Amino acid sequence: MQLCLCSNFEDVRQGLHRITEILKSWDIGGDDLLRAEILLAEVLNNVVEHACADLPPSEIDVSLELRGTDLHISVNDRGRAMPEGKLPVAQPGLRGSDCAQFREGGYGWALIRDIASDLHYSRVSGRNTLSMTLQCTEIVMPG
Amino acid sequence: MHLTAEPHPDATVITVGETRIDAAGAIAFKDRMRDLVGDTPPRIILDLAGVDFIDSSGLGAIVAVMKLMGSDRKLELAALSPIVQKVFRLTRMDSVFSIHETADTALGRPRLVS
Repeated sequence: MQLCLCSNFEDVRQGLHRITEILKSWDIGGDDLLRAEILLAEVLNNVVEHACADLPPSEIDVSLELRGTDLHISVNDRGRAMPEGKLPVAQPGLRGSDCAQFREGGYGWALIRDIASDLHYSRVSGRNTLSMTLQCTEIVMPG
Repeated sequence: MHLTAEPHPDATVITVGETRIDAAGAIAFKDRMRDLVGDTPPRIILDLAGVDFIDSSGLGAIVAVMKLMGSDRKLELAALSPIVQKVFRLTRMDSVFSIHETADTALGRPRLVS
């Protein structure tokens, strides 16, 4: 399943509604659906907020594929490359220490890393591709 | 961003009249909250019963409001939807805020049983 969104927050918001409906039609529900919604919101908002900030509107392509209980997600955009060309690490100290508990930002990548597995980033021909897997735990496989 | 404040004897309840606190609305939420919490009593209960989605920007905005209220006032949360609860739990922010089942229980009122 492919979707094309425009790189602004409003379009991402509408895109997330469409994605939720698609996932529901694939019988993804409960905690799996919550995690998928949080994950996709963080990934797509990052594209708008960082990769595409201050750039003319461009397209974001989202690809979703359910294989068994694994939801494969790929997001392709035409924005700037990730800093240093690699995935940001979740900032250390987000959990546990008093000072970190009062941070106003930096939760996005912590959520992405917590929810997704097999995170992979590549930059080819001026495009970013971020791919990841969400392991669904509530899908009952036939047989 | 639609927010309404209702004063009670020992707390002010601020009700969020939006279904999402997300990247598109986080700044408006923070600005409106800043106006509302200006000179309120020490305890504020943020009623999230109508909010069915929050992302890291919305979470950051709530943390920012808590910080601007200072250490002598307290921001508490009520009526978290499953997804809001999940975001707070995954980021461990559920251990930072007092979280109530509903705004009524936060005010010490008995739950209505239908």
